[in-house]
Amino acid sequence: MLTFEGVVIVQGDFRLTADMTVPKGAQVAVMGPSGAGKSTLLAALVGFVAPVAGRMVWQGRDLTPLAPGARPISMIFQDNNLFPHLSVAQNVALGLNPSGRGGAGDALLVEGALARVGLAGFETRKPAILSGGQQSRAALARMLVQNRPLVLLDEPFAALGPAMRGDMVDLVAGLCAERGATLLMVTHDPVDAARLAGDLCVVAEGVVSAPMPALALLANPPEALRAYLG
Amino acid sequence: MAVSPLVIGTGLFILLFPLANPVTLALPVTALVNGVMALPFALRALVPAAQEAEARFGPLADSLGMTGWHRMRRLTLPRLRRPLGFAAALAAALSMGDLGVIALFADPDAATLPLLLYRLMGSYRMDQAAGVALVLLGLSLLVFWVLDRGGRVDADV
Repeated sequence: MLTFEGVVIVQGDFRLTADMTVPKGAQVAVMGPSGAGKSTLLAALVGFVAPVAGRMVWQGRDLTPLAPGARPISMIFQDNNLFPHLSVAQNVALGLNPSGRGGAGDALLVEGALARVGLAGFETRKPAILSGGQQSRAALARMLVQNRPLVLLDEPFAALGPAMRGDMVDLVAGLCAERGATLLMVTHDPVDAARLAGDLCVVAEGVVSAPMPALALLANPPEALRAYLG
Repeated sequence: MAVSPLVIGTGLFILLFPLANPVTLALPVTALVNGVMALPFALRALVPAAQEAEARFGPLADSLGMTGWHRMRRLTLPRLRRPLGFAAALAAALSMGDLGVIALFADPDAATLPLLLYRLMGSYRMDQAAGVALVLLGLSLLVFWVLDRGGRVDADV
C-alpha cells in the first residue's frame, strides 16, 4: 500500500496537496489538466522534488528521506529514457546495477527481459536506430530487470500513435500484473486510462483525488474531470 | 587569465632555480603552465556540455542510483567525448607553440621547435627558420586533427 500522508508540494506559486492511498498491485492512471501537477506528483514520489510537508509511505516504510535511486521505484520518463552512447543491453543492465557491469547471469536476465518486451536480438543496437516504440520497449525491459514494486510512468508513450500506445499500455499493464507491481501512469488521454481499466486519480486545482475505478469515473465524471475531458 | 605564460614561467624559474636544475624540470613545468593556460578554453567547451548532459540524463541517472565514478564513466565522460577531444586538441596546439616557459627552462643544447625557430630568426637564418615554421605548423595541425577526431569517431549524439 502506498500512502500519501498530508503531502504538500510547493513550487513558487504552485501548490499541490495529496492525501490518499493506492492499494498494492493497483494500476492507476493519473489524469488532469496541463500544469495541474501530475508530473510533479510523480517527481515527488520518485524523489526529485521534496515535499514541504507530509510523507510518502510504502508498505510501512517512509520513502520521503530516501535518495531517488534508493526508493523501491522504477521510473520511465517522457523522454531521455535511454543513454544514447550505450547499447540496448547496456542500458537494460543499468537496471540491475548502477555500474552496468555484471556476470553471465545478468546477461541472461537482460536477454530474457528484452525477449519479453519483443526486442530479442536488439542487444547490441544503439538507441538512436530504434523506433520510438522500440525505445519504450527497451525502457520497459530495464524496468523488468529492476524488479521494483512501484512503477511510475510519466507520459512515456505520448509520442507514439494511438494503436502503438494501446499496445504499450497493454504491455505495461501485463508486466506489472505479472510481478504484482503497483503502477502509476500519467496520461492525458482518457483512452489510455480506459484501456488500463484500473483506477483513475484526478489531479486538478491543487489537489490529488483518491484513486477510483477508472471506467466508472470516466462514465460519470466528477466536476474537475468533466472540465478536463470537455 | 591575463597573465602571460612568460610571466608565470619567470616566476616559477625564480622560485625553482635555487632548488633544482631548471633543465631537469623543463618538461613538467612546461606541461603544467601550458595546461593552466589552456584551461579557460577547455572549460569553455566542457562546461556547457556537462550541464546539458546533466539536464537531459541527470534524472534518469538519479533514478537508477548512478553516483560517483559510475555516473562519471557511464554518463558524464561519454557525453563529453566531443568537447574533451576538442579541448585536448586545442591544448595540444597551444602547447606546441609555447615559447614562454621553455625559453627559460630549456637545455641550451636541445630546443623545442618554437625555440629553434626563434633562435634561427635571431641569427637571420630565415630560410631555415621558414622550414622549421612549416614543420611546426604541420605537426600542430596533425596533433589537433588527431585529438579532435578522436572525440568524434563513433560518438553518439
